Amino acid sequence: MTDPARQPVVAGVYTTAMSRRSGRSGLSHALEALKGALDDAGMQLSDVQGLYPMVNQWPAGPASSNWYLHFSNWAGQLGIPIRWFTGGVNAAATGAPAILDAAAAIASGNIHTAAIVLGGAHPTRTDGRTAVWTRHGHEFTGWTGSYTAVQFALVARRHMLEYGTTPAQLAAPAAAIRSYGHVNPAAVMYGRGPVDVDTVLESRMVADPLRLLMCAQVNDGGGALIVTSAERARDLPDPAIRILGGADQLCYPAYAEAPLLEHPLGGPFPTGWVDDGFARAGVRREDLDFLSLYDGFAIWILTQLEMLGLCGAGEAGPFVESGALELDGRYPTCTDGGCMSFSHNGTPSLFRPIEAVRQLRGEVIDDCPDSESGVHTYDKTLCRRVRDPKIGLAMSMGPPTGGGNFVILARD
Amino acid sequence: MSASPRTKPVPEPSEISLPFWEAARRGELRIQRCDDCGQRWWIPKAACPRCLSEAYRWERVSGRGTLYSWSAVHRPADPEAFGDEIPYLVAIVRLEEGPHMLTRMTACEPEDLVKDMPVEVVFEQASDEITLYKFRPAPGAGGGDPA
Repeated sequence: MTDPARQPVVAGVYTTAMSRRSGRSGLSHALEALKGALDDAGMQLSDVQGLYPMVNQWPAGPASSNWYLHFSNWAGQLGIPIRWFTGGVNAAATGAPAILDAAAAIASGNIHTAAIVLGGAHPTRTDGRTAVWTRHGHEFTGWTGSYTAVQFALVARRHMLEYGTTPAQLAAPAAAIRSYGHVNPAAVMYGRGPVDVDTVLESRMVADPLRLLMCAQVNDGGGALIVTSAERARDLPDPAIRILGGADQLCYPAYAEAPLLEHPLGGPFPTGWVDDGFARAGVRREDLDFLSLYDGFAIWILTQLEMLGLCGAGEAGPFVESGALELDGRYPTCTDGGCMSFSHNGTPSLFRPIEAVRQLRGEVIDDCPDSESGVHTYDKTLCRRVRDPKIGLAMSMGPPTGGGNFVILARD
Repeated sequence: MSASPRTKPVPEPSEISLPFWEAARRGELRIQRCDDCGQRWWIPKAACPRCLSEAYRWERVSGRGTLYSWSAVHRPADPEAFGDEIPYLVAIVRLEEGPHMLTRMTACEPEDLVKDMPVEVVFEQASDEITLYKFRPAPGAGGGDPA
């Protein structure tokens, strides 16, 4: 049992303005976000002991792919000693895994406060190529012309072949998520909807069966989240959000190996990691009020629902088609508009848990006339506010199949 | 092909994978197999992923398999490299011997492809050092004309 004083909580969150072209660096977004999240938490930079940082380019000096240099650069820039630097060198790590690691470090008493901070800018190029993070020049995949969209198209095709999943079922999560973004003034694609299944199916083909609107867009922006102990959060202005638990799993090198719906050495992928995560959090699946899944590609929503055991293997297609992800559905999902509509800045993992925190705190701005005062209509043509949510699950960037990472958050 | 071949990415062999590429140049498909436990695997690794033995051989496989998945790619990541081939067919083939390979389907059209259809390897020289391994419908598979 965790010492109640050391119960890890989220004390502050912040996102910068998301835009196609901000004219700023990823670091600039990250620094604004860090200051904003600390302010939201009622804390100072000097309170930060642990750091999980990621920007898609370090503007001065050597690149940050070297772990030691990465954290040295950050310590130098922030002017504070960093006492816990165990992750956050890549885009996947700065989501749920960073929250779980910070929570463990706080629960064990190693540190009392950690900041997760990220920023990305200028992700697209002008030479007609897709965003740089989609291209993997690997020895056994690069020559085929595979890249992220193709990897997920291969997963989607096999899902269709094995389970009878249809193009309309692939389109359903994209339509639901993009329609949330349509009513989120902070989303890059705000006002660019609502989006229905037919609109998704009419968008141009990228990698069959994935169409343009089934893939995330790209933009500039940043975010930060502060993890601290319940004891230190006691006097803070906003109610702290408890970090109940979660889990991670990896089974093979994504993008280097073929993405399969089964383990490369045979048999199904192990699923015990998900049950373990729910058990540690003390949460049953039926307790979840909403989801903030990782929606880089529409098929990923289907495979995450199945992986989490929120529907049976192969059943995600009919499940999402029934409206399960919409505001009046069983699991409102990616209510900010997700990667597809709110923000994919190259390092967007943290935006999924940030949206979960905002739903749990009731800090949701949408097209309802009085949303700034916390008054919502629950009419999904205007509203993206989940009704009185107490427990939410957020996933972050992970492999196409066989694993992932998630964190379960709750308000008191 | 109209685009210059130099713009296409050509694999760079590693110390571990070099025997694979040398075999491909001779028209042989070889993958690693553990001397201790018999496990076969793809992609190349330094040791057996089942028992961690570093004793393995590069065993020639039949070159036959079944089509696990595919995608007709209309929007390449790098149009300069792949724009001349649109739509091209990236595929996953399950080898008769077990492991799955990410590859290309060739000598067929997207509409010819069906779940788990039999396919066979075909080699295509990309440079002096590198010969690529692609797959095509097996004769009698009912998918296009493999000739």
